[in-house]
Amino acid sequence: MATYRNSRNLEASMLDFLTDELDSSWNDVSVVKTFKRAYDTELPVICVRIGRTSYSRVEIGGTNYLREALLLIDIFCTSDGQRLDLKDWIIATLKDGLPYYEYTTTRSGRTTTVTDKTQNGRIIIKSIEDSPINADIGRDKVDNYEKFRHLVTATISLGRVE
Amino acid sequence: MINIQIQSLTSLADLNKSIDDTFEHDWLTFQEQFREAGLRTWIYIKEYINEHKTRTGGVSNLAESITFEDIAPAGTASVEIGIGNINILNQQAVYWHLINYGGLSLPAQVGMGVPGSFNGNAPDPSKSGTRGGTERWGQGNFMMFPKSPIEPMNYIEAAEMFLVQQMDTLLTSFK
Repeated sequence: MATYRNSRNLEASMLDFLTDELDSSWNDVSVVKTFKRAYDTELPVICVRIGRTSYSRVEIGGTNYLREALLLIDIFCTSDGQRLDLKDWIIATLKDGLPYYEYTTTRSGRTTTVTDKTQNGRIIIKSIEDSPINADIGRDKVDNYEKFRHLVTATISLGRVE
Repeated sequence: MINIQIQSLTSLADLNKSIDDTFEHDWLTFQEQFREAGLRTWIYIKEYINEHKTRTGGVSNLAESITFEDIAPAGTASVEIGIGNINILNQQAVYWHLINYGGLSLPAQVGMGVPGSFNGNAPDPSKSGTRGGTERWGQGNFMMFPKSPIEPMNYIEAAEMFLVQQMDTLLTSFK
């Protein structure tokens, strides 16, 4: 039995939350956690990644720190309207934060499976913004995955010292 | 229709006093420290690119092409800085957009081959798409047909997060 560390917990919590919320609000939108897998998945698809993480000391002389992570959500759509609707929906869904889970895994042979998850606090969205990702050349010349892309970035925190 | 009502106007002469009142500090000091935060961000973004580049070999051409510019220098009515000039990047590091946001390169999108070699050797098909290679694709007569997307580095977003944290610290120090 093993457990995920914080960064994987953050990423997995975000994936679980978005997958559940999408299931009740959207049809056929997939959520993946690696960029390459997004290109192997049918559109529309959302790719969730954790980027840079910073650790700020909370007091002089102390060793505790506050973790802040950069959340990157790449959105690949089939139309401009879908791109705008989906990015607005993601921001509205995330703005209030989401549950933070700690995951437990069990290994059998070479296969590791998540067997349990326990909520331990919430993920706070400190700031969020979005921007369209436009290819340098015309849309008619680019691959379908490059035509209607959008990037949502957010700074997230657990709001507690480690 | 929405009516917008002007509640008050601040003349330019009163602007410095208003800003001083807000920050309870000298406006010029704030400008200088803001510029220093910008300079630290500029250094950070270059280091970030060099630390995260996949291919072997010297300093990243992209990192070297990111400039720091004083758009409105400290001591004037405002302070504005620029980190990275798109016109320069488009000339000196044309793949800046692809490296930051990731995606399929143009040859991958249109199924085009790119001539070259890995240190004089042909590309190894068994390593295709594994992301394990670190050698540069240089001069040569072998053909490579890229298919996998470029992984995004997101150096712009990382630098923006760094700058925002710098600004938070700076604004807190003026409260």
